[in-house]
Amino acid sequence: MLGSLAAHSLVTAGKSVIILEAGPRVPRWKIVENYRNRPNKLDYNAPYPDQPWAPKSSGGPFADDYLQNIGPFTFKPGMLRLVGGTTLHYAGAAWRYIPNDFKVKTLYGVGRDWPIGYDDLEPWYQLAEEAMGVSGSSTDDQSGQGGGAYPPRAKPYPMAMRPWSHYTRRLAETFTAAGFHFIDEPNSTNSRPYDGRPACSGHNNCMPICPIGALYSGEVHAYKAERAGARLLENAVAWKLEKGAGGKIVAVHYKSPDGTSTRLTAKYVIVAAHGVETPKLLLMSEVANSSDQVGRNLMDHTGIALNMSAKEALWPGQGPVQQGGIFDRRDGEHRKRYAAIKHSPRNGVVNQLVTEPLLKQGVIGSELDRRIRHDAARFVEISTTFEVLPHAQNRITLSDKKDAIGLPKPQIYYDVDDYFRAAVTVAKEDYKRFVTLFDATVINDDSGLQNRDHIMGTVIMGSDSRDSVVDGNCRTHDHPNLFLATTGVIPASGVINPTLTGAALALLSADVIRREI
Amino acid sequence: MSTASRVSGRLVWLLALCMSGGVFAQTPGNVPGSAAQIERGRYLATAADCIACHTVDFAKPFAGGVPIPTPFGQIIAPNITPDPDTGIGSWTDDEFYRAMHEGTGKHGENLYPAFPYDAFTKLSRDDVMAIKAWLFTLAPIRQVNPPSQLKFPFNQRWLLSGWKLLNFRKGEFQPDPARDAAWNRGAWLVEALAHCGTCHTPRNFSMGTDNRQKFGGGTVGSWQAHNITPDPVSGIGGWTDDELVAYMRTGTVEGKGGAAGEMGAAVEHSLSKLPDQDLRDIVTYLRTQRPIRDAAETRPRYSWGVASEDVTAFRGNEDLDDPDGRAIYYGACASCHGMSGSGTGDQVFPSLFNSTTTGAVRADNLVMVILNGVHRSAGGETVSMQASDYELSSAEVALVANYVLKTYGNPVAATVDAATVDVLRRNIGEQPLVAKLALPGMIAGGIVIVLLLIWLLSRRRRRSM
Repeated sequence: MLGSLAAHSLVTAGKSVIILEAGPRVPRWKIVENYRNRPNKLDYNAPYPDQPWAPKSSGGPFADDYLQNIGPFTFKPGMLRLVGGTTLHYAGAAWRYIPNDFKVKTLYGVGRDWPIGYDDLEPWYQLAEEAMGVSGSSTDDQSGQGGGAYPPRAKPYPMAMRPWSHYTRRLAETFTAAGFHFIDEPNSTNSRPYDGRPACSGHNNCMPICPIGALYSGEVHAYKAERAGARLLENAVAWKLEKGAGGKIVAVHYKSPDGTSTRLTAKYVIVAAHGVETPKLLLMSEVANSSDQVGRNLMDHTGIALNMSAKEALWPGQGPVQQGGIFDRRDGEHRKRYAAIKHSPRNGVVNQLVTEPLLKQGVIGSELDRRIRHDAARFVEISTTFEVLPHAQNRITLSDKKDAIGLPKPQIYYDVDDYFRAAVTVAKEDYKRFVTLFDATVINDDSGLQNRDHIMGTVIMGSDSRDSVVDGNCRTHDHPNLFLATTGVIPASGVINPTLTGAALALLSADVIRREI
Repeated sequence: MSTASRVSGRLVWLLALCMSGGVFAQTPGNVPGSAAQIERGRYLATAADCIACHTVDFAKPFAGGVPIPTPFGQIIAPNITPDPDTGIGSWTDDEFYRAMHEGTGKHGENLYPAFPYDAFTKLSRDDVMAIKAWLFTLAPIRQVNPPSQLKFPFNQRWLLSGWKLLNFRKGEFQPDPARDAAWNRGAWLVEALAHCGTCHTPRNFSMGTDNRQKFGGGTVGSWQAHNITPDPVSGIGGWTDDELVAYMRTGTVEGKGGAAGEMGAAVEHSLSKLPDQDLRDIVTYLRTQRPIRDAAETRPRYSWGVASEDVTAFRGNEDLDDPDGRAIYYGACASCHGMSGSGTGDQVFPSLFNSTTTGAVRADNLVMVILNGVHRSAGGETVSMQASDYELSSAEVALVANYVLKTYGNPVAATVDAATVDVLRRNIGEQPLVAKLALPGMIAGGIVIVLLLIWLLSRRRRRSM
């Protein structure tokens, strides 16, 4: 998606652009049909093609053996490789970081500061929101402190916030009455027709695929770029960046599914292959790594979850799958001691989740119908995410194992630290309050650590070329014409979904390149 | 009938005309530069839907630049903001009236009849001046538009004299004293202002409106503008007055169909903004037109189709590598239009049966809707169906269009193939005879004009002798 945005920005500025896509082009309607035809509705990767030359992260024989985890935690983010990329199955959260997120080292003595600040990024946030089509609240204090509209923005959201479902409204009322700050989630789902795409009509199917394209995904700008004159080569797996004189990258080599390789030259190269494949390509090419930071500092917003059955029938599953959350601990002095915390109720249809245990209990017939209805109406899942700090040992390296076209598979080591664990303890105290607030029965309050699919840090941004990979423009320190468009550049994770920030940075980078070519 | 009662009868309808806004009567709207004149100009320009052709970017209204597809190439609509250099800021009243009344540009050149001056000629000078007065209150926008791109010989404007000779009769609208005020106002709206016939009347061999088939259905680009005569099968005979008014007001009527393409734009920018009585008068006038029946149509377009659902037998058995129309339907269409084609209960996502789009004998509009989507705002409701021109190949569009027509619409039309879709994608309409004959025809026409001129000159000389 970030590559599509950058490509579109450059091609509409009159530049000649070629997009290499490792995976195929699959129209939305085929993914929708794949989803419908598959029994397991909860595997969001499953409806997507499982190609041997460009494996996704899971959901097929080639994919399941792709990511080689060697650490204590199995890092397995939802990650797709086809035109449109992983945003084909994301929930659309489009948060901005708040100013303090950019200086956590200075303010709280943890992690790393960004080399740029909120004010530098604000105009690019706006452009990204307009390109993607973001609906959001014009009044919420997104720092979660219950103040006025925050962070500051020069222009309003392109679209008004999406209406809350009954479920979200009841949860918000209950949390707010208990003193929590529950705020709306800005989201790249249309609250009205926007950019030729329809408004959300509440299929509740953001993941694995929005059936009507009301949710933005990367293929929007891939196709726009193509219409504007960019060439899109599908099933072209970039495997080597070729170094030339003056530290410049002079060519990109890509492999086709049959293993043959092609060399393309270019004045500028943007690698936009998300947080795993981007460092993998740099490592394979032995470029941009004078700092030895490529692949290191791997972060996710690793999380936990609480599942409970509320006394009141709340009816989750209406409207989009994410609508808001509790942000009280998004920021504050506590970040000196423990990670920022976000609690967001998931609003997915829960029929499968409640039915499976009932079947295991042997409930059948009309009683089964009654119980599904009863339990589905009351099921509440609080999905909690935590800020994660960058650590050099959490890293992606090249495995000895090879994929079908002979490229090394990514090897991953990932673990959490005490800063994280301290926050888990706090979150679990919150869980006890949540259970009381809803007069609920706990279904599961010990989920273990969960992937949250927000890959960051692996090509980390910084002002010092000795300990970071890219500068504040996402230009690699080592190669003046090599830029990276990925959330992998993010040096401080905060606690919000990083997609919009990645998009803003991609547009910023494209503008830098536009002015130089 | 005595003379006195005839006169009083005329007085009655004249009075009625004055009361319903006035077509010819002296009204405050005629005082140059007055607020009333400007307001009348705004109303007239809305009813004439000037914005449809003269605006690309709605942040720059009336700055022109819209490419109007024709069988001869693209005509680029000009900037009509009051910018003196790139717009019409330097036009005199006489020049503006001449353009509207005679189809002649500022420098005496013939204007392409994509600009419907064959309708606007029927406007009074007062009304034309009101339109100009309103246009001159707009912000001048400096925008140079690209030139029209027409193939030879159609880029030769002098040849349009031949077109005018064949197809254009200038002259202001004259009310029919035998008809009442509502009819006359409807006639004026339909014929002069809203220029319905520009699209809804078919074109003859030389691209003039074929008035023997008046309102019998025409084309605009690849879109079919349906028959709007009172014929109960091919026309609007089966629609109630309220339905027709609702269609013009909102662009959609449950059980009848919805407006897309150019008609969607006409509803959005023009018809939906007219007073209720205007829409009713339009209906009154159309009801009195000569019914025209298309022999190929056996029942009204909106009467075709029923709900049909065969997803249960199909689910799990589809071949997505070689999909048929049904597979594409369930993947690409059913999320909104339903597994049974019935749309949603509130018809925000409309039914695919009982729809003029799927019930037509030609699949053109259905294909165009699939390719371009539907984008229409009217009455506070916005309809947005995404374009599929990029995600579906022409062969896939043909498959799904045929499936929809066979399952939910008029099966007669289910003969679409990829080549048809390719042609429709170009949105330039069918080649009229004049385009096919192109060069030889135009040369012949030119010779005719020269001969005519010689004849006229010789007559004049003889007279002066």
